[in-house]
Amino acid sequence: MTTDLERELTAGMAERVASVRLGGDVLVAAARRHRRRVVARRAASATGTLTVAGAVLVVAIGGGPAGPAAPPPGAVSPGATSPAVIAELPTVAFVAARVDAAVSNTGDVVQHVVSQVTFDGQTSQSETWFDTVTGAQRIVGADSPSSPRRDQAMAEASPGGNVVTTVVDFASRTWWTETFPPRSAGEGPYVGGGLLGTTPSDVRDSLTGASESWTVVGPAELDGRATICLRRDFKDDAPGTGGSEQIWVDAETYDVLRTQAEKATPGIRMTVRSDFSELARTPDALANLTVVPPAGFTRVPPPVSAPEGVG
Amino acid sequence: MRGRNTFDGLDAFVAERGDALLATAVLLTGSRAAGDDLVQSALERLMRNWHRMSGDPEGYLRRTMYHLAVDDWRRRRRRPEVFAPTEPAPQPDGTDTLDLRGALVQALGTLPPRQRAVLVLRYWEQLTEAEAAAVLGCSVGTVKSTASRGLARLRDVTAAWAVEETHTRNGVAS
Repeated sequence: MTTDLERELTAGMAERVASVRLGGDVLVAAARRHRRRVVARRAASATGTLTVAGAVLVVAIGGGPAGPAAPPPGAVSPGATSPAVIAELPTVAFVAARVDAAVSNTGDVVQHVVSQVTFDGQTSQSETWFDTVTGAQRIVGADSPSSPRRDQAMAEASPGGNVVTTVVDFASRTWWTETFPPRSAGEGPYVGGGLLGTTPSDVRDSLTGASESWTVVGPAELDGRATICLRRDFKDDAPGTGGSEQIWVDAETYDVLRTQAEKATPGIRMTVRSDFSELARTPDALANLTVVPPAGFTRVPPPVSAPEGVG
Repeated sequence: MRGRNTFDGLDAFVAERGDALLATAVLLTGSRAAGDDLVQSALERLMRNWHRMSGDPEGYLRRTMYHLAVDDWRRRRRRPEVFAPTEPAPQPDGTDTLDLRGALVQALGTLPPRQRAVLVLRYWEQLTEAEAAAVLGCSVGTVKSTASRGLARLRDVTAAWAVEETHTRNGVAS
């Protein structure tokens, strides 16, 4: 039997949510959160398996950051890639190979990524630092304009030991720490509530995994640096949905400097831009990997995630 | 099985069902921002398991949202920020029914997470007790008792609204 109270409750719920509409940024934020988790997993073994794999790759392709032994036909030679003398555009395959080599030869640095999402006239920003030596990482900011702002870090308590995450939630003015067992067999911990940011490795994967979809736009100057710009356009099945992605790589080192993606669906337009840089592992740079909970914030128990196999 | 690293069709699915998912999430969390966050978390879980999924992902997303909501709140003891103590209007007027509904939804946010989840499943999703039990992974008896306690609490909180009188005054059949 349905009572008046139950009927009014049902009606009240309907009124409460009658006008809510899911923003397109939620799916994008979820995708980036997922990507962040994948990156965290990679980070879990970055100082082990992947580094070894990278070293093997470097040896296999010629023993140094110079990349492929011979550029493909039509490409400029490695010695002629100075921006001032780019007489003809390199092929996408050549650029992809050089980016692959540059990423694989990343030294002992702190990678720094600044990402911005502009959605519906609002912009959110996040910063990521990643230590290529220890695998420690920190992310500060918000996934999207509608996401909560957090400051979170993940680091091993000792080499090969437990992994400690620290998370500051600015919305609730709380913070917590959580300790995970040592990482193994591809099951690394997740730093939690993903934020913006991708890595040069992701860009490399995108380039090398689908090089046929990219085109070299040409040389371009970015903040005073000579770069090579690549672009690809995509169009989804849904009418009026599509966008583009662009990558800027340094014209000499082939380091990834910037990515920018634009996507539009009917009534919605979003831009995601990420700028990449590498910092020497100075005390100041390494300090960016540490989270310091602000005074007045309350320490709380860590949240519990639903089991992976829900459903 | 779906492709391991691609999410073909997810865009279209979210475009079609995203509003409904967000509505449930808002009721579970009590605020738009927290609802967005809950949907986002569930979508990320879906992406993790995308390669293992087959069929309609909505059931998985909804189950994940309910589990995330109940488990997260249980551990963090976090209350939605937007809910405040419910007070009846000092004098009855023509907006009583709407005010009562608002008060009920506000009071919903003060319930323990599992009670809130059961009421959302039963009275928003319109699931049967057996279906709600399946979603939450508990017995039908637990759903019955939890719903009963939740409704009793709502009844207590909104007792001052004199439901029957309000309905009579506004001409709503009871």
